[in-house]
Amino acid sequence: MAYHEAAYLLVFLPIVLIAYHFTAKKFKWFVLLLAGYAFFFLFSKKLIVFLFATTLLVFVGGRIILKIKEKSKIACETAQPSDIKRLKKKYANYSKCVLVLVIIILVATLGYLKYYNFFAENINALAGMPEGQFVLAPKHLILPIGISFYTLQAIGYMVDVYWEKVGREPLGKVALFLAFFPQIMEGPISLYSQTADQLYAGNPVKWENLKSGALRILWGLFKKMVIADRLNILVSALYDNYSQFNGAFIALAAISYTVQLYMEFSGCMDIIIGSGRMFGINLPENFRQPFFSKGASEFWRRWHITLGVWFKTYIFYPVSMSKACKKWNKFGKKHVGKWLTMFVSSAICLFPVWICNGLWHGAKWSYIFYGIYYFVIILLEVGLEPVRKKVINALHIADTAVWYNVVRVAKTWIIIFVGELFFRADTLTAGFEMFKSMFRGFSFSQFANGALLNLGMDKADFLAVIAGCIVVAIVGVINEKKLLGKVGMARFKMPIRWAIYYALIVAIVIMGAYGDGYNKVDMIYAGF
Amino acid sequence: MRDSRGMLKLIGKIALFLAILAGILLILSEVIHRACINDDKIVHDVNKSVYNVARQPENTMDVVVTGDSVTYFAYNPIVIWEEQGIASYICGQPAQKIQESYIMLKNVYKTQKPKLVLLETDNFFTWNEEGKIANIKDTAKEWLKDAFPLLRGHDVWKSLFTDKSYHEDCFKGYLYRDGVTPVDNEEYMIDNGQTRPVLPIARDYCKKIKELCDENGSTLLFVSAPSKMDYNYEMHNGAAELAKELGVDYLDMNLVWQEIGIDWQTDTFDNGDHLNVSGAEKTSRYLGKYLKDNYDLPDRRGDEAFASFDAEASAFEKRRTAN
Repeated sequence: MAYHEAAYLLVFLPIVLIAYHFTAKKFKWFVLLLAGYAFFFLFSKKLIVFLFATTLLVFVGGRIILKIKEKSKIACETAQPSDIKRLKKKYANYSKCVLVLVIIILVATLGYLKYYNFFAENINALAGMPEGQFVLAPKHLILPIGISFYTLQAIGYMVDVYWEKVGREPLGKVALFLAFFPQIMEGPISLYSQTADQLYAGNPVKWENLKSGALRILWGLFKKMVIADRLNILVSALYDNYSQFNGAFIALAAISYTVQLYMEFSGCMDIIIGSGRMFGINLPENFRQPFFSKGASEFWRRWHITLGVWFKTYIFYPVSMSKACKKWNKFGKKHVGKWLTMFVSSAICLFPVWICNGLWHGAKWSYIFYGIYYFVIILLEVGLEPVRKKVINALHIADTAVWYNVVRVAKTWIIIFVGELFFRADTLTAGFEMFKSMFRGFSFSQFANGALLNLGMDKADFLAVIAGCIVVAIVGVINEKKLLGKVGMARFKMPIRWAIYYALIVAIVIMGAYGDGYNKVDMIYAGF
Repeated sequence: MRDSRGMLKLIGKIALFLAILAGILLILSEVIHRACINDDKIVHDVNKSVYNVARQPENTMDVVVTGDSVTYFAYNPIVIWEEQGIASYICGQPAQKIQESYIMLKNVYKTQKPKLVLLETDNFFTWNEEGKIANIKDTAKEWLKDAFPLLRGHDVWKSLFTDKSYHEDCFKGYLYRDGVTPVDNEEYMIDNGQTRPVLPIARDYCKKIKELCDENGSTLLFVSAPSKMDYNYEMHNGAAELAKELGVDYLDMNLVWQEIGIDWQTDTFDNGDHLNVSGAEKTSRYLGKYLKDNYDLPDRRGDEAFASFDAEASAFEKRRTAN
């Protein structure tokens, strides 16, 4: 029952909405929690115990930290001034121990389930074990649905408690924060402060929210079903048989997968955010026109935003505020100059972020490479920024010049396409093979004589994808330039609004890649 | 909260929106349905038999066969027509689920009055591996497709706007396949005393199909087409048990493949999964005789109302001699 399927949209979501509407305000949160557990159970059955265990662990861990902090306050109030520093440190150490212990348990659980086989495979390879013999035997491990998402939220909650951003919260609220059903499969990964209060508030169902939520869901369905699922045929044909292609075909593979991934992930996000909105809950946005980015770091502020925010909040900032980093900054400014200090400290802070980003996506070397790829590019962007500024000043190029920004956006697109080429490749070796073969015999004439039509997509499929992309691009420009302002669609008169709704519904029903002749396409990010 | 007048206005607005939407979808459904009826080339392979059935002249099917792909490769109504004068039609679909068999039959009864319905047993054992909910979803999907033809034929825009077409040599539901990919002639129907139970969903739908046949005055017969790759004695036992329970006759041609004259070296185009044109000819000859001997079915040869069989027999002959 994925979010784009009729079972979710026409059965599960309406049932939960009706139950939620007719439940008293103070129990509405409970309806959402039950729905979350039911949704989780449908996918992962008894593995729901992992979600229960995570919830209890962070709840109890959080309470212990709060208790220690309370004790610390009381002890400091009654202590001699000379003892306060020592006491504060002592209690801070206690609470840090609890925090670290809980995080270790959470990461170890995720790590064991998600990375054990990857680790075992590499250890066995390193030990040169013959086939069928192992240092570490592979295991059949099944991941609970959404573990990568709810684990990050759980860690975030623990750290927020430790940082005293979150106080004493009821168990039900914490449980719901981790198990809100639209977020279970693909996020968005929210901070406790972003969603917990809204979820627990029992907001009434409002017509305006239902309307805007439904429109957002329709828009997501359009992106996923008309474009992404149709492109899946081409992408699979190229990636599954990459050794048979070179040049322009490999470039096409990278571009089509990037488009597929964007349409699919952002489309599902629209459905998820639309679902949340129907309950009066504003989930954090995950995409903000990423293809308008002028550089890789800007791209990551517009693409999978909530993952970026999580890493920034819980890895980048803590590392940048760490004693080691501060020491380096102090030392560097004295001895190696401002630029090198900034460059090295950026590297220290960015490296763990990007390694974690790569690893978070899955247990594959190609994902780790993907993380390192962006680490290097973003570090270069940071390091070369002063040079860029000098060059454009010397050449009298305005930072806002259209042609200059078009070049920068184009450069970013190439970075994105190459990154996604490795990201989608089955193995890192396959990724490098594809990258190399892209430069062999590259010519647009490769697409002549109908070669393009032998990849599972016919002329009509290409037309549908191109038309769909044009529509998405137009909407992207409207959003980027904020042409509709805050009122959005309400700016239009009813007949125009309705015509847009009908056009969207008809486009999905008629041009959606579903039913006979199409394979079911699972949600890509639910696999991470 | 809005006042009651505001609420009424809102409900009115929603009703109007939904009514217009329903209107648009119904019009589109009708347009697509008509386009599919008028032109077989724009209909996707999976749905061809749905529209083929609708295209047949009224009351020209005395025998109807429904089931998965084994049906339209094993039974050739042209052979049965030429040999026995029985007017039969194959309503099989690729990987037809038992739910689809039921819906197909319901649609057949809209324009036809078959005396005998042959239900292929192969799909008694086809189960969506994803579990119970997936099977409920499958059932709902089939009902929705039947209620809104738009969902079934939504892809026809591809043929209407580009040169996309789906061609199939179809003769009263039989799909012509020549070519040979052989398999050995060893016996495959060996009784080990085991029974593969018919799936619960198939059991339920078989009961519904039996009721539907009874309501419409048709006799139901379970049949199994020869398929060395697909069928076995355990399945036979399962189907036979259900047949007995429902009081339905059961003809399993896998038990008599040698009597039929099937040679797996020459009569299959895909390693014994499906029969080719020569295998179908042998099976149809056997089936035709079985039907003549066991059921009171009229010989329609020479009857003007059944001229479409003669026309398709000529087309079939042309196709056969074209090789």
